[in-house]
Amino acid sequence: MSATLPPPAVRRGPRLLGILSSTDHKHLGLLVCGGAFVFFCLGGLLALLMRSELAAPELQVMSLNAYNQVFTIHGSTMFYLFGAPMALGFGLYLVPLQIGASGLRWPRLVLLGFWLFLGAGLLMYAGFLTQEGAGRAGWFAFDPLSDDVGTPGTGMDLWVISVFLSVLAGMLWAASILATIIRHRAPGMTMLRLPVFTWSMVVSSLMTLVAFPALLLAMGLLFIERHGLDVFTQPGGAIFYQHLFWFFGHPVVYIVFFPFLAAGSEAIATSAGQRFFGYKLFVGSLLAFAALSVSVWGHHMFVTSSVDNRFFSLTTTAIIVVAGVEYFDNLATMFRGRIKLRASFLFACGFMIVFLIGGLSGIWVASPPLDYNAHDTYSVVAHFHYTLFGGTVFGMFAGIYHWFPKVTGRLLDERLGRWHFWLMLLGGLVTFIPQFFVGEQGMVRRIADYPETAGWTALNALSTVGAFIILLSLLIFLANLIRSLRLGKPSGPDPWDGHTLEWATSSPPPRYNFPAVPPVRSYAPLLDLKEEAAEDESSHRPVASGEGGSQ
Amino acid sequence: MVDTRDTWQDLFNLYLPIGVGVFVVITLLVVIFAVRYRDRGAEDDRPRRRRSHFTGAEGSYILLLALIAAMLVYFTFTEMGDDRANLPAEASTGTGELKQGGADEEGQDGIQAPPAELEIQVTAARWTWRFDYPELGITQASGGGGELTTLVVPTGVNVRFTMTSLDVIHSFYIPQLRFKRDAFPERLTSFTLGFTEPGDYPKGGFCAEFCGLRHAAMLFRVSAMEPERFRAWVTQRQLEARG
Repeated sequence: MSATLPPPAVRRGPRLLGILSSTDHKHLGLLVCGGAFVFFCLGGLLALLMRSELAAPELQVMSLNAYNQVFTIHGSTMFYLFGAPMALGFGLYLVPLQIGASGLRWPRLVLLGFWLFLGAGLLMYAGFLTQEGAGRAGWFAFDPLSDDVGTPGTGMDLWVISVFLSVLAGMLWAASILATIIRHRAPGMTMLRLPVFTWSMVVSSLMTLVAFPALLLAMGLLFIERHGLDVFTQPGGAIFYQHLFWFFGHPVVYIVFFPFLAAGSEAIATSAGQRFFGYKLFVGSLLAFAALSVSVWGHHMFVTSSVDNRFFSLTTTAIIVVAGVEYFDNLATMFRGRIKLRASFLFACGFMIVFLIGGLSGIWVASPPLDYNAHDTYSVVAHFHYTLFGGTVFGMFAGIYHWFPKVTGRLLDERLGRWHFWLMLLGGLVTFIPQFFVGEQGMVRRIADYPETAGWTALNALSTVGAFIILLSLLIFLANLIRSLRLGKPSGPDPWDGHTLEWATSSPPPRYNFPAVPPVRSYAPLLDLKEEAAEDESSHRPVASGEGGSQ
Repeated sequence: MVDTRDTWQDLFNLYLPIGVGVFVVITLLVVIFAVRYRDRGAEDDRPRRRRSHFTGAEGSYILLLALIAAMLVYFTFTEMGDDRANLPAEASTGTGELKQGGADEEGQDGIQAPPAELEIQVTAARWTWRFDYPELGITQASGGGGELTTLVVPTGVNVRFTMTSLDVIHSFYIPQLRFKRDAFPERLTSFTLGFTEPGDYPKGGFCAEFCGLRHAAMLFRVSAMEPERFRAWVTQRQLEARG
């Protein structure tokens, strides 16, 4: 199919330079996802440093000051430089393909976003080179700890600027994705025929545009505060900062969740060989989920005595309903399918099981009296790592195994993929389950050292072992990635018998994606065509099957 | 008497079995579906799912989820009603020395704080704790050199705490009471606790809100005494204070 296309536009200069200044959404998506993946690895290395320090009481690996920098930059990296960029980066690459568009709206803004994001990352890590060290007030940098008295130094200023830039980049990407979905859908692609992944990007972009400005404001004010003007030092200022922060901070955990939930759902529907179940309800639940996401931020403030705990407990517990619908639809999509147990499907199942621990413990901490114990202890650390590691990371790998052939034209190795999956599942359980127990016994977070008498040593050592199992699984993935990029089996345009439009063009897709967009009659347009072709075949009319794009 | 441990335990006993049960059911479903409906090659002629939505099943399922959520909220609210230590900070506590700040007005609902027999003022500062007993003229503070402050309380009665911070946000956390509260600068936080068991609490107390370099070392000891022993301790401390 791609052979019939005109050759790509004349290349100016070397290839990398071309990609770094490209307005092709595929290059943009790859830049953002690639950058986010590098930061994921860096953030992971910081986590290993922390786990090494915590394996035994006393200080062995690093100083208190270094530990505070390490956990701050770990959390900040994973949210500002990995989670949100990776989630939106998936959208930059896939949304135009899924809706039959030739590219993104406002691609130059997206490119600007990439450079802001790159600057954000470099600035945050440049903090390690400053005299006082990098940002060290935690990823939420509560005022007054984060002001110029609490945490003086250039590194902390760099942190504030970095977060500001990364949030700005996220807003540019979200605006572009949303505008693309609204303005550039192929003929026939109504809003209620968008694939589930694209719907997840609609709600993620909406939440980004609603919630990120709050953090932009908080970082701007914090910068002003650090440079001489009183902002948060006014009475109630510390609480005001927390409201601003968590109004951003809770939606953001759903922004880094929905796209990967939907990536898992696409992998499940494709692997099971049947249409995604309960599409309309799923879309409705995503929208309700997004609406609820801006009403729950106060559950991070149950122990501040300054929010109505009952209200936020109620809204947070209501999340059960919308999250439950998503589990129902994924399970019903598997029901009576012909499931091919590929790596992408395994990761989607891993997502459902591992995230479930995070979801259920989230209902737990939504009950204020239970949170009075769990808040700021390792129980909460374990809880949100199950949502982020189980949700974001497992879902991301489901998406990577699912879409890698589309992006590169080559298949990832399935055997290595299975090793990767089982080790990561084991590592995820061994690392974070012990943290529920030490947290329940009172081990607070963000401490480099804990009393030997507390009896937390064995569980912490176990957790450290788990972290290194995760490292092993990621090394296997990296080996698979490097090997498959060069030697992977050619995938062809549609290796999984896909349901959505991205599988109707070559792998990787040409510059403007589609020579001709297939007709769209539902949220699974390729599946429609394949079913029609099968019916035609049974009435003895030979039809080229597989791509469906030629019609 | 306020018993935060009891409240926690009641909810623990409700939430844990439900959580574990749901986890087991869904995990089993995922595994069973993945095995049972796996692709078995060409001769596979099992029936396929015929519909791609099923309004009746979806509706009843949503209703079930909503009922579970409503039940959890109901029990949580009921327990919170009993646990009056959760009241927001009072608008005025009359402890003149501490400045009142912040928006503490909401959530009053006309509920009074439970009557308390002892007032303790908690002052958190990087990276140590001070406990003042204004009615008794006693101050518990660290002697320096990494020595921990000891919170001494009587058992069996309500103790009213009024807390503030001198610098950044800290959090007063006693794991054995399953309770923590944040301490803010320029702002009072009040809560009531009851201590049931006498003795030194092995884990003592922690600062739970990250507060900078020595956050990990910002601990305090907790010693609960039966009222008689507590009175003796008070007399001894008052004599010491007079020197």
